[in-house]
Amino acid sequence: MDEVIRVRDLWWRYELGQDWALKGIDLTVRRGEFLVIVGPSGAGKSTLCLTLCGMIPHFSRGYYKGEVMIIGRETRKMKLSEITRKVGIVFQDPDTQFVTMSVEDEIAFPLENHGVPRQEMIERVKRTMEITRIIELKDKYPHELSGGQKQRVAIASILALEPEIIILDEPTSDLDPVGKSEVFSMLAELKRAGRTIILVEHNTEEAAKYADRVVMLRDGKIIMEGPPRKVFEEVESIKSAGVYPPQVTELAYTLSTRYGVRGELPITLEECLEWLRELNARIVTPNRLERSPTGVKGESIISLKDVSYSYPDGTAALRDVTLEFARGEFTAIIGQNGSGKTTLVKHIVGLLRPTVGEVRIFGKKTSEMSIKEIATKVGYVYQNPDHQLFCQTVYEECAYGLRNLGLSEPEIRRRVSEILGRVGLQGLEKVDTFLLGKGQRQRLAIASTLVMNPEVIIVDEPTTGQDMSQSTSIMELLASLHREGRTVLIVTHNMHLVAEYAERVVVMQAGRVVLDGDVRTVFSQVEKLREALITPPQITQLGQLLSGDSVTPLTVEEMADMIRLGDA
Amino acid sequence: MSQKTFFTYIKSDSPLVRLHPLPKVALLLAINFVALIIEAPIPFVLLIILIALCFKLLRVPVIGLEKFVIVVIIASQAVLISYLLGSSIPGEHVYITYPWGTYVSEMTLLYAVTMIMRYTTMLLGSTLVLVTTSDRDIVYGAAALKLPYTLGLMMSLAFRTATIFAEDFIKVRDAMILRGASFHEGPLLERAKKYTNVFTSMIVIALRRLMDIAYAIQAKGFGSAPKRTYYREYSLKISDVVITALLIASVLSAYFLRYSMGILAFPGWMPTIQ
Repeated sequence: MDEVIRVRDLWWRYELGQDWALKGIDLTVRRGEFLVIVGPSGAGKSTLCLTLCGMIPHFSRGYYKGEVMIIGRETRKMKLSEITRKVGIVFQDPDTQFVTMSVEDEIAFPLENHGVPRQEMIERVKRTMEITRIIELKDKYPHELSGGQKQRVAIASILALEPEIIILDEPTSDLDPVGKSEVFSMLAELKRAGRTIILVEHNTEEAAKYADRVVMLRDGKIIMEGPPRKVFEEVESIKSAGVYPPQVTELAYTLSTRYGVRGELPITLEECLEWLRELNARIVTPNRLERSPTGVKGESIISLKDVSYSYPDGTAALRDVTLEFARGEFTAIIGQNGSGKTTLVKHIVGLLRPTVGEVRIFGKKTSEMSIKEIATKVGYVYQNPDHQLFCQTVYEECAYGLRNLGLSEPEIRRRVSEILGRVGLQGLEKVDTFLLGKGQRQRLAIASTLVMNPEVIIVDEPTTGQDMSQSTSIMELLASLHREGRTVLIVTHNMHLVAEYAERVVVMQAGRVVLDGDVRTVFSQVEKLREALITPPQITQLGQLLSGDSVTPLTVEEMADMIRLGDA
Repeated sequence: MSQKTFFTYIKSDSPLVRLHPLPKVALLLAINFVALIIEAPIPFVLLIILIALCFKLLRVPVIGLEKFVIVVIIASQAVLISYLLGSSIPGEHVYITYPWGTYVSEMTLLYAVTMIMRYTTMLLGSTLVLVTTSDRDIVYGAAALKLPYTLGLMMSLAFRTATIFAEDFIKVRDAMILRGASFHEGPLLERAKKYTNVFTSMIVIALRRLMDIAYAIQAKGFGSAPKRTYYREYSLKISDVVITALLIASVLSAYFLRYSMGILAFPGWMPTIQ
């Protein structure tokens, strides 16, 4: 394979940045290669992508040293329009990439820019929509799609161009598990067709299946590079750098350490099954596999009865939903993109009112309550923190709600100080809210809601776009609130977090509740989950495959404790 | 079947929706040009009535447009105050003379009301078109008028950004309400301050969006090919041509009546730049 990208001693500092975002990057990408870039938030992954597609230095101002060669030509000496013919990029946030008002036009837009003849354009748009499963959305307004659908449209608009090199910056961070898997298999198909793929990704389990090579960045430098196995086997190192290894690799690492097994570690589910068989692994089924309750359960405080809701364009988002949430529960609402999860929680906080049916909060109908009244009992953290931060400083942001409650300044200071400590933002009180990084903004959004002390806290996609340590810190915060007796509802696609933290799971599909129960029971409903396009965590799947569906482990530790190797 | 437009969803069989993009863009431009040419109060009253009738006859939905009423009210207040404090329009009676030399006469009041009607006409007329128009209409309409593609794209992005801005506004305002803010209670100054908070956030969101959209447009090869191609094809019907011709004629007539015959001018006074 010949080189399509060569990066030599690349340094980049944003005009207003205090430190170099990239520090002496050396990287070569071969034609047809599937390269995955991993690393914690702020490592320089997105900046590296911008240099590879020529946006840096053509479109961003800053200080540049070194060189980036694309198919033998230095990007600084090429026009940006020349580079876009060879390199397509899908950015992190699909919302910010849409130029037109319909899915079909969005996919056609880059083709029009490149002067593709109309008949060919029609064929390519259709083919791309079929590959990305968005043909039924072709007349929709991209901004009103669910997060996953938006991302598929964003990818489709680049795929239609059929560029030689495709760069994707965390394209699956907001997709459901099946959506993630489909994007990866779509990328694998593109690779088979000879395209070069460069993917920034937090999901190492999918990366392990498809990547030819993994590059790990930290603090603007490449700290590890090689085939996926070589990188992911270094379980402790990559965890310390803030990256989740595949669960099966972590399990194999734990067992290898425990039983003194030597040799290569598996990095995919199939490899792990084979590895365990070779080691004569047996499953020791515990008599009872239960998660000890961590919260205090009480009476029903939220109820939805026969709730249906349709959006102005006629899309039925909720259909006959009947649910009860008890005080002290930790519930995860999961489901395919567009299944109605966010619509459901918006009904609970009063931002949407049911077309049919009723919602009650602490026994009172929401139709008879103002949003402000509901907000004193139910806190809601948006998916995008930018919509929730409107004050100048971190302190003012947290104090805002408390002032509206009429609390005294000393009490406000006390509460703000306490909450900032809990979310790890202490010392940043005077910092401008809009200068915070995404992870910090998300934590501030949570803090500004939590500080009002609501009995129920609802967090929509708490860990989207966050690295391992950030996700863990947010989930630990929610878990600690739950232990204190608060009712917690999260809307998420991250099945690892659901398995690790939630007690109850509500699965939604096409606006209906299709499964509802404790997390282990729900994850054991293999067929129903498949119908709802939900994939349980990798470790759960492994346990089910090994035991013939008789056990449903939720965490790596649980699974490791169930396995005996050899004659042990 | 509903179709997304800049401001709302509209049934695809609505007469304005079915028009070719050319007369739609021509209508948008004509309403605004005519409103800028006219300066007499009575024609504005007639124009506003005509536009209101169009909303009714063309089955243009008004649900969801209430939020624009507040824009009209705020703009009207601003126009009124600016003329009351900063103009010198001669009249038979002078009610107030300010130390800085400007004064208020009965003609000041009439002129201020006329200007309010001008902006209301432009806003209502533009709303009538944009409620039934998508970005595609603007881009293809501009192309049919032989305007540069970049101009059509910029116009469509500006209209779309305005509606996204309105959606962001609602999200941020809801977030504030969820944290106990009330936009309907308290002294006027306090309420105005709350809106300041919303707009601070909005400006930051808008700046981020603008930067991101600029990246996206560049990444999608904007300006890559010497000759741009178009995905859709629209065929002009005779009715589209007739409507466009009538609109052009109405602008030319207004110009002629105003500047050659003085019929549409403000009675008895010609504004001058000082």
